[in-house]
Amino acid sequence: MKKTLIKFTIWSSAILTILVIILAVHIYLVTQPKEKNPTLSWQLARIDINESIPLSKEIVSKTYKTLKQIKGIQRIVVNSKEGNVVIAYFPKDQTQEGIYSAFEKNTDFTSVLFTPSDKQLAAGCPVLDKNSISYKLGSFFEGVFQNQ
Amino acid sequence: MLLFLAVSISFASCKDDDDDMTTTKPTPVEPSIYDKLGGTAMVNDPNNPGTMIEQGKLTLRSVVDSTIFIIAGDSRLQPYFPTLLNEVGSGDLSGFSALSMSLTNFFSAATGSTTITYGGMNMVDAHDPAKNSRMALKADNASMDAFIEDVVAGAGQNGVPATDPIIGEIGALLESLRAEIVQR
Repeated sequence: MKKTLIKFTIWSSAILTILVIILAVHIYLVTQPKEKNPTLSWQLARIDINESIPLSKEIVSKTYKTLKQIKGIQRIVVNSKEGNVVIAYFPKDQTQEGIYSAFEKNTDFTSVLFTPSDKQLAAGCPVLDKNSISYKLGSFFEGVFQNQ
Repeated sequence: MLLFLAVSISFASCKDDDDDMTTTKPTPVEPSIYDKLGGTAMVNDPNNPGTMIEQGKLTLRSVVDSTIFIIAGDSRLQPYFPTLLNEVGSGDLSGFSALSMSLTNFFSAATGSTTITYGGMNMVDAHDPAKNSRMALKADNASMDAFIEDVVAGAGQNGVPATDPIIGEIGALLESLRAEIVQR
């Protein structure tokens, strides 16, 4: 009985290991598209500028100029009508707080970093379920392959 | 046997998109919107040197990416997309890339691409909170109007003015989806 149990455990572990390896290889293969996605690592951040809207040309210009000097920022879009700026950056190089801190330090207008509340996040968007096992596994392996 | 079955299922369950992309649809008499945007002509991907991409897809991806930036700053659509602005760690997947790829593929297929397919949920299910746990809020007409407005603005940022006839065609395409998307 004990021998059977040991055999069963060994076989189960072996099969499980093989399946995990197959899954990893599969994810590796499907995450190596022929057309690479240049924005795969982009993260968005938004800074709300609390000045009268639409934002003046001076504020828009100063916003672009200040943000362009911050390392890791890939794209900047100022929405003068709404009074905010949306930024794409590489999380490897920057954090939202780091960007906002540098922005605030080098501008003299009132602003605030937009951070979604837990309630807003719970409302979600039709893109990713970050609690799903598939997301966590995909994210893990993609992170491994990307960091190579 | 069990192992063989598991391996078979593992690979069969998530086929390479390229397998799905090639279809044998007849060539349409009238050029599709996708054709008018450049179609399947292969060009260099400006964001990814050394890689080729279909001109139609490149145009749509550029518009989609610009539109996402506009959406992220649009207070009218903020309730639907808060996770776009939620910081993720280094190496983590961001909502931006997922949304960009999904929308680009959807628009490519919807505008008449014969080489690209959209493998996501259908529009009714994708926008129904009961069927899509990631859609907590049903879209209303005002949100749909705002979305279309942002797509037009995104196109404008890529050199396609609102007066261009192609905008009218894309607008008509989006309007045709309104009944499926707007659910309150």
